[in-house]
Amino acid sequence: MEQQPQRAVDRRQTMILFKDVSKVYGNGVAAISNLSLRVYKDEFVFLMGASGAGKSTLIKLLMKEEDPTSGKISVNSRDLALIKRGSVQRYRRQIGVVFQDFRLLENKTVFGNVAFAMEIMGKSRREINEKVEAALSLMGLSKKADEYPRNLSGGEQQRVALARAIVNSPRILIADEPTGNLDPANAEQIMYLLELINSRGTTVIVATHAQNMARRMGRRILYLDHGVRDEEMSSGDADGKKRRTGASDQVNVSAAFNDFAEEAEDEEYGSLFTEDNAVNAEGGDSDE
Amino acid sequence: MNKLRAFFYIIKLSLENLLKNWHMLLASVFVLFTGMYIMGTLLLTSNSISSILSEQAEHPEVEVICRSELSDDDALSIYRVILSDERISRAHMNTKADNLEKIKETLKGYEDIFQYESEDSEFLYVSFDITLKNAASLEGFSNDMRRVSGVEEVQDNDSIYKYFRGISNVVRTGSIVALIVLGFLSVLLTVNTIRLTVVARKKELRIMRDLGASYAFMRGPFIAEGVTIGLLSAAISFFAVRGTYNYVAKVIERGDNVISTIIRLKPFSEYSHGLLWGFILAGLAIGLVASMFAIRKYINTERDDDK
Repeated sequence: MEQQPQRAVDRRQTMILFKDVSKVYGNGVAAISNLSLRVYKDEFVFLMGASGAGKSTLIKLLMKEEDPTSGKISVNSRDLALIKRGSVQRYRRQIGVVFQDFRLLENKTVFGNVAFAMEIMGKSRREINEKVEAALSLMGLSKKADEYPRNLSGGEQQRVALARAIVNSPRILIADEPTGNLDPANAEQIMYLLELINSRGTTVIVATHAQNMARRMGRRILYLDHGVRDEEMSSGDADGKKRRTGASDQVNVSAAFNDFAEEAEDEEYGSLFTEDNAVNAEGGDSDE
Repeated sequence: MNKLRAFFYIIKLSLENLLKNWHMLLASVFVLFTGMYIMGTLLLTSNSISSILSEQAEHPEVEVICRSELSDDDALSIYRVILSDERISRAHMNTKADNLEKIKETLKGYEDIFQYESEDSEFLYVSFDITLKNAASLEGFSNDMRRVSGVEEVQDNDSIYKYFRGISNVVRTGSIVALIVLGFLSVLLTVNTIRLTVVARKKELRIMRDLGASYAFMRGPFIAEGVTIGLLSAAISFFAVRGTYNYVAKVIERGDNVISTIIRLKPFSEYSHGLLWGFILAGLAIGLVASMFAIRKYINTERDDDK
């Protein structure tokens, strides 16, 4: 029983591959040394490690904000070293990202913040309205659409950031300390939503210090110490219910977020992940 | 279609930013306007002086005034001397009667002040309006005419033209210096103004970058802002220079001094097209260069900021 998830993962297509990757900054600091790791398509992975262990650098390398000093990184079978500077932004559209500090625009409403991700890509107003409403509904924020970020709780702000990250249907979602500023109940809500997003086919990578929470999730955990130091499969959630990886997984909805989870109707959520969107996310509609 | 939507979104965003940062917009426009206004004024001044000088160079004119005791018949001998000179292009004799008419015309409405009993009055004189073939012979011809018996005075305005030639050289040199200094200052100040907007929108830019907005899209609003500032300044400068030019032209036209008799400014319409396009191109160039420079520098250091 314990081996089933591992076998399922091994059969999947590789989404992210780091091969002997090192990153030394200009000041001589070696953030990552000979890191090799593989993340599969549709997988949900935790990145853990002490401050300075290389989590942020790994995310920057994935976002192609930085280039490795040596080694090879490929995403969805595409060598990042071969992406020209002019195409970097197009590549980034395949990746949704959320941060600990939410990074919302204070002068825009909740709807405006999420719509912004589509406006900058020149999407039509009709499409924007449709997708943003679906994303907000998924995040349980439909009633907050006209609110400004300053009027929202930390958990709600992070849900807005999540809605913005997924509204363009990314192939990968990176969450950098998404629960770092949240209380346990809100943190659990965010984790639930990340699992929900993952269950629909988006590869999710969560960098976190929250070891207990990660261990309860039943997902693969990569421990970073400039390179991968260790790897383990967490055992399951606090209720002892086993979670499995995979697009068809059922997610466990705890009572803490039942109130907003009801809003996450599958029909609306489905409109965010149509085949067309997947093609667009790959860069077929570049405005560059 | 996406590109068109993105274009309109960029325009909308830039207009929103300009309205939001209207005080910065005013500062930039004022700086650019000042530069363009000074440049435009200097250019028109230089052009007007050059135009007067070239006109003079083409048709140098001399007025020879005879002694009042010479009658019209007596002055004919001087006229013959003038006509026989190879340096002249044409000459016209003003008899005492002609000059009396001129005086009457000048004193229209005040004819009672002077009462001339006859055309032989000792106050009247015979004069000659002479146009020379070229300006180089102006000084020599004037000196020769002064030595002719019966000639009271020769007016060639050569000293005035020499004075204007000096001014023209100063203005021309000043224009070049102003072009360099004001151009540099305009770009520098516009760069700083746009950079303030860039810094104010740093968070927004970072989010745009993370979301995968194209570099063109990120730069677009700032370039549109720069271009708008440039074009707005060009329009204001054009109308300001036009107003100033027309005002000066009117003042000169109404004046009754020597300058008014030799300076006739061309109508502004002769300069308007060139000046307008010059301003538009300068505004576009300064706006583009300033915004590109401000953004390029910011984007180049942006990655370092994140480390």
